[in-house]
This record gives sequence, structure tokens and C-alpha cells, in this order.
Amino acid sequence: MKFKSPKIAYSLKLATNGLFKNKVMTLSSIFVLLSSLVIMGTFYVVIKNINYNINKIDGFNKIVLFVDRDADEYETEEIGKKLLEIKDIESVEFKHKDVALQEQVEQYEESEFLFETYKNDNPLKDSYIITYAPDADVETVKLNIERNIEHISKLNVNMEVVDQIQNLKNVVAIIFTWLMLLLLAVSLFVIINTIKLSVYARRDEIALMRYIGATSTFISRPFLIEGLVIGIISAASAFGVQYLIYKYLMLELIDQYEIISILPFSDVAYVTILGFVAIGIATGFAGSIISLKKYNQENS
Amino acid sequence: MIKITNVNKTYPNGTQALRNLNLEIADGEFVFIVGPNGAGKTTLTKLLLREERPTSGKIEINGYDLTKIKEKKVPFFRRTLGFVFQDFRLFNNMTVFDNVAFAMHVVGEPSRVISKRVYKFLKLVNLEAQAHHYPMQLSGGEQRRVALARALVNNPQIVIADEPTSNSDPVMSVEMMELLKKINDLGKTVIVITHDIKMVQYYKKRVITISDGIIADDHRLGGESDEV
Repeated sequence: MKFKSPKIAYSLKLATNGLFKNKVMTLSSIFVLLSSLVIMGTFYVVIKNINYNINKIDGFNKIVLFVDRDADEYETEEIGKKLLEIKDIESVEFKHKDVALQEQVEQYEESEFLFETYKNDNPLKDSYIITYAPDADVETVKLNIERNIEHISKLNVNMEVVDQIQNLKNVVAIIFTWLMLLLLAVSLFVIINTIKLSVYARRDEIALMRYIGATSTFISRPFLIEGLVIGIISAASAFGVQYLIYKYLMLELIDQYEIISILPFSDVAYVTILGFVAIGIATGFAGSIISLKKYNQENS
Repeated sequence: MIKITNVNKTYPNGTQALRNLNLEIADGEFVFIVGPNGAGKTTLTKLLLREERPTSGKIEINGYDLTKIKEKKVPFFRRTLGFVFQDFRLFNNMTVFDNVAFAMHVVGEPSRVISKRVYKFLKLVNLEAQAHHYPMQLSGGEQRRVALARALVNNPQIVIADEPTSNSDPVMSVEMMELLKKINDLGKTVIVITHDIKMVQYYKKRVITISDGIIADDHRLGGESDEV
């Protein structure tokens, strides 16, 4: 490969030498970052699947709107259209009061006679079953409905289920965030030490470079490339490991249980690879910058 | 051109290394800087390389005012100097060619230019045949010449050699000094920091004596002597 800038080509050569010279530390950095990424990735896919299964629980992310008896057929139909314009509402399903009554009758088949009197004078109301985005705030959705829709008789939200699920989601999110921060700190610490060793091993070279007239950018570049390479290799390997874990552990093992559904890997692959590459590169770069800064402070 | 005006240097521990130093070295001059240990030669060298800043006074070298120069401009100033270290500072894992080429890579020269120029300077110091040897395969004198080639390869205006004849036998010392003289004849300013009084007397050039942080003597010897 030919590079237009001789400085970049030479920096790449120095970076490669550095990585091989400290191969034990390079490999341990890659291993630690890879492990951290895989743990983070596994947590992410687990959370994604938990949410996917939670969202399938009946009653969650559903609000039932009962239409006021005063509303005529046109006004009832307008409610459905207006509901779809409200933020975070994904779908609405209209249930005519006669259909609701019929469902009741079918539910209490043995006591059907009890409903005889209601057949000519249905006491039930027309309703809309509203499905909102699972990650939306139910209170806000409810408030928006109340503000924008007329002829509402009643809004039914199963707050107990919603609250429980929301609490569960919050706990999982907090654990995930702390775990991610902890793993990032560990990875960063190991990378800082790897680059520090690399800088230390090349301290004579750096001193000479300074005398000869190398700019700070030229001196730093090989170490930044080293961090970048560690980050990219870790991210790529972590994605491979993540794929295998997902395929053999989640899809083939857990998916056998009928009550749990597992998302196809393609649904989580995009975010996983992007996350791995972003975290890998950021950690690699940050590790290099911190160790170079420390070295410069100690040697200025 | 080097112009040092009223320069003082006091280290944080209170040691006053240089006191009211005034000095001018014209382009193309050959100068010896001599003096006993602790006289201030090393501090002066550090100031010339902008490794240290003076406590007060002004230093101008090759158009750069070293007392005002911005940190990011320092590398560009240093490219106008060539420095030969007393301990050579060669990389034992690099060949002679790579050691010299290193200086050119650092300033971003392209490979085709590097190859041509490195061989030119290896020829100048009579080391063309050893281009692919490693420093450990060379004698002390040869290693010193590699360091000289590395100092010259970026075409600096001033060459500073720190004790270029220390730990050398008389033949090697003369060989080194002859090379420095040859470089001076090519128009470069050459500054030799040395303890080797015999060599100083033999070459009959300008001699600046530093003692106790001041210039104790600055005179020019005329005509070359016949014996070392």
C-alpha cells in the first residue's frame, strides 16, 4: 500500500513496530477490550430481547379510550384519525360497543341469559384500543390524548403493569450503564498502560526525534495509530464472538423455550457493530492521548 | 548566525549556570567551546538547542528568537541545526542507512529523496560500504561518523558536535576533526564543544572559553600548527 504522505507511511511503520515490540501488552489490551465489548454487547442484546418480550405482554403499552355516548358516528370516526396524529401512538383499533357486548356474552356463555335485557339497550360504549411506543412515557401520551381528543368518556390505563415494567426496565438500564462505565474504565486503564509501555520503550527514539525537529503530531501519531489498531481489532473480534454467542447460546438454546422469543441477529447486529467500533476506537484513542499526555508532563 | 545577548540562566535549585553571556557566531565560522566541567558548556548547548530557556536575555539563531519562539515552531527551528551527541545515540536495531534515514523520515521527506541523500552523506563520511551494517558491527569512530552523517543529512545551517573526539585514539580524532573541517569548508557553521585542548591548538580556530558561567576568553588562533 502506498501513502501520499511519507510521514503517515513512516508513522504506520513505527506503530506496527511498536505493536509487535510490546506484543504481550498489545494482546492483553486487545483481550481486555474484546472481553469488555463482548460483555457490553451481551448485556445489550439481552436487554433488547427482554424489552422485546416485555412489549409482547398483553396490556402493556395499551390504553383503552371509551367514547362518550353523545358522540355521533362521524365524531367517533374522527377520534380514530386524530389519535393517530398524536406523538408516540403507533396504532389504534376501534371496537364497536356491539362487538364488545358480544365478547362479554361469549365470555360468560353459561350465563348468556343475563345479557338478554342488554341486547336492545347496550350499556357498553364504543372504544379505541390504543397502542403506544413501548419506550414512550405513558403519562405524557395520556395527557396528549386528553388535550387533543374530545368526547372521551374514560381513559383506561393499566398503571400497575406499566409501572412494574417501567421499574424493571429502569433497573436493567441502570445496571447496564454502570457495568458499561466500569468495563470502559478497565479497558481504558489497560490500554493506557500498553501505550505507556510503548512510549517508554521508545523514549530514546522520542528524545532524538525532538532534537532532529519532529513535531508533536509526528511523535504522537504512531501511538495514536497503535491505540486505533487495538480498538479496531478488538471491535472486529468482539463482533465475531458476539455473533457466535448469539447464534449458539441465544438462538439455538434459549429460543427452544416457547415462552421466550429471541430477535433475529440482524435486528441487533447493526447497533452492536457500530457500538463496538465506536467504543473500540474511542477507548483506543483516549488511552493513547492520556498516556502521551502523562509522558509529556513527566518529561517536559 | 548566532547572537546571544545578556543571557543568564539560573536553575530552579538556585544554581546559576550562565551569567550575563554575550556571544556572536557568524555564518560559516568554525568555533571551539572549551571549559572545565561545570563551567556552563552543557547549559549553553541546551540553550542553543532550545532545550532550556534563558532566565533573562535574548538568543537569536538562524532568524529565530529563542526567547519568544512559540512551542510549535521549535521543531522547525531545530531543523536548522545538526547535533552530534557525545554518546552518538544510534539505534542498535537499525542499520547505518536507517539510522541516517531516520532524521529525514522525521521531517517528512519522501523515500526516493531519502535514499539518494543518505548515500550522499554516507559517502561524505566514508561509510557507504557499511550502509547495511548495524552500529554494533562498527568501530567507535565509525559510529561517530554515522552520527555526524545523521546530523548533516537534513542540510542544517549549523552543526554542533559535543565532544566529537572523546574516547577516540589520535587517528580517529583527527579523522573526525577533518570531517568537521570539510563540512565547515562546505559553508556550514561548526561548533565543537570539547575538552581536547591539543586538538583545539592544532586547528587554530576561534576558541571560546567558558568558566564559572561566563566567557572567560574568546580569541582566534591563526594558522594551523604542524603537530597534534
